[in-house]
Amino acid sequence: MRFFSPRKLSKYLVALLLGMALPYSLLAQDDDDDFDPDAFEMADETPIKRFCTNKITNLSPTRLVGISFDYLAGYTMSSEAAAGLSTTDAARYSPYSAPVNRNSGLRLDANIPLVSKSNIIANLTASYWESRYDIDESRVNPAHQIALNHARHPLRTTTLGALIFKPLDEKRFLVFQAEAALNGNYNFGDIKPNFGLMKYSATAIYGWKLDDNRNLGVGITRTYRGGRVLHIPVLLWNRTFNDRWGMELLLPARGHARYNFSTKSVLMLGYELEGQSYHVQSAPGTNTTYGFSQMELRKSEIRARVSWDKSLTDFIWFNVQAGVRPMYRYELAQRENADAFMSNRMGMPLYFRVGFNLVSP
Amino acid sequence: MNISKILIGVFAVLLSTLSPAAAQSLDNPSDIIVGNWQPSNGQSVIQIYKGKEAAGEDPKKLYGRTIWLKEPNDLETNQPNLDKNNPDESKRKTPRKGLVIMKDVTFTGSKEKLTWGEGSIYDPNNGSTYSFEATISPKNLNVMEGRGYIGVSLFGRTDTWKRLVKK
Repeated sequence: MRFFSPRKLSKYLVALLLGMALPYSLLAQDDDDDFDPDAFEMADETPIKRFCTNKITNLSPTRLVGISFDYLAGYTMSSEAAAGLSTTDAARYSPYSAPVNRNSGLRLDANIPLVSKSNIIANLTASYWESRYDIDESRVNPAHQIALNHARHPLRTTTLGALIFKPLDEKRFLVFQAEAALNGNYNFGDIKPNFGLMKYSATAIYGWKLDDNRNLGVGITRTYRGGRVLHIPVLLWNRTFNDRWGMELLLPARGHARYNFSTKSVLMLGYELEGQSYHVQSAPGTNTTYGFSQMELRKSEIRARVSWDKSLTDFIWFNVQAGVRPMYRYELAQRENADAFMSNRMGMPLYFRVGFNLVSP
Repeated sequence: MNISKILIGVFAVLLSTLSPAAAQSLDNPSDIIVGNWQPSNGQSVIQIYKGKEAAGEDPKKLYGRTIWLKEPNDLETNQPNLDKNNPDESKRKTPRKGLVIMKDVTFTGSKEKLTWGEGSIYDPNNGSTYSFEATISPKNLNVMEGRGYIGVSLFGRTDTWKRLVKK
């Protein structure tokens, strides 16, 4: 039985092919200038939860790995008995001054993403900072023992921690940060670090990403930035005003106004509060420092600065900073929680830092 | 020859080409990634396609073009958003919509392990280009895990993309 003649059949087939090719071309979307999202749907109906990111427009880049060199110009270190000591005690700590030619030191920082997905970012953080005091011992009074200790034993800070950004939805997020720090004048030689005196700090923030140009968060922190442990509220507030100007605040730790020459060149003007509590020891077989073989140094300084970040390649950025370093606290105590017995004025020298950073996607 | 059988055969072939699943056959795993995809932020749709020689692309590799933006225009000027962060100054007036942001991606897996890599992805938000790799589970060909990274995969970020099909 024949339904069609061969000629009719070929006509039908051509018409059929043309008819089928038209919708296929639409499906293939070769030229999608008029792509209509309403005409499409998710092939997978499993609801996908959307999350905010930790970034806003033009935010300064997140540093993954960094190496920098920190340099402070010369100043005078003046030490005296702390306020509040009895006359007898104060007499033990006569005032002395010593010229510090410079402070300098290497800083290594790492912020390694262990998990980096849209619903969580978990980073391992680590750092090593050193601060060497260039002091001519021949110009230091032998009784100015903290200056002599510094001349011989640089201060070091080694940290290990974690930083977690957990978005809850498209607007709300949490930030957790925790860190253990080994601070002191240890050298892994004759002065061993005391792991029992590690300092632990942590921060928790609850925030809102208001839009692509603003995020805001409030929280609480346990910090040593003031030289001794503090439990204080924190405010996170990043805002981009326009293509050029913005601000990045994490108060009280740091605050900067930001100027974007471009997305690859960022100038920051502001400050950072840096501080730690250090375990200062005397080398075995040498004179003790003010009669103590070990004590606590509470150091807190402000780095008021102009900082410029410029990309050299997509992911390697150069950073240079210049500013002044006023000292907020630099005092010695016999041990943690004890009252200070000596305070020090450390001038307000110029400071410079240069570094290279691998930055985050 | 039985004409009915011929017609049925022709219909079967044509219908199979119409189905979105046609491009997702495990018989040709490298092309499973071809199609329209939406990143998790819902701000854009990326069409992944085989390279077109006429456009100077390698037909053996895969490319991704932005075919839709939630906000195609600058809110202040109401003009199309441009690729203003491109490190190549001559490209800064190119509209973001239509940009080929994924380039030179090749299939690096097998039928059992659907992975693509060796290509790059461009982020017009900052003008940076990252290495790119993608994974699709053979159990669900409509969800892709795309990862942009720097140098080694450790330094990167993963995002979930979902396939879009015609209603």
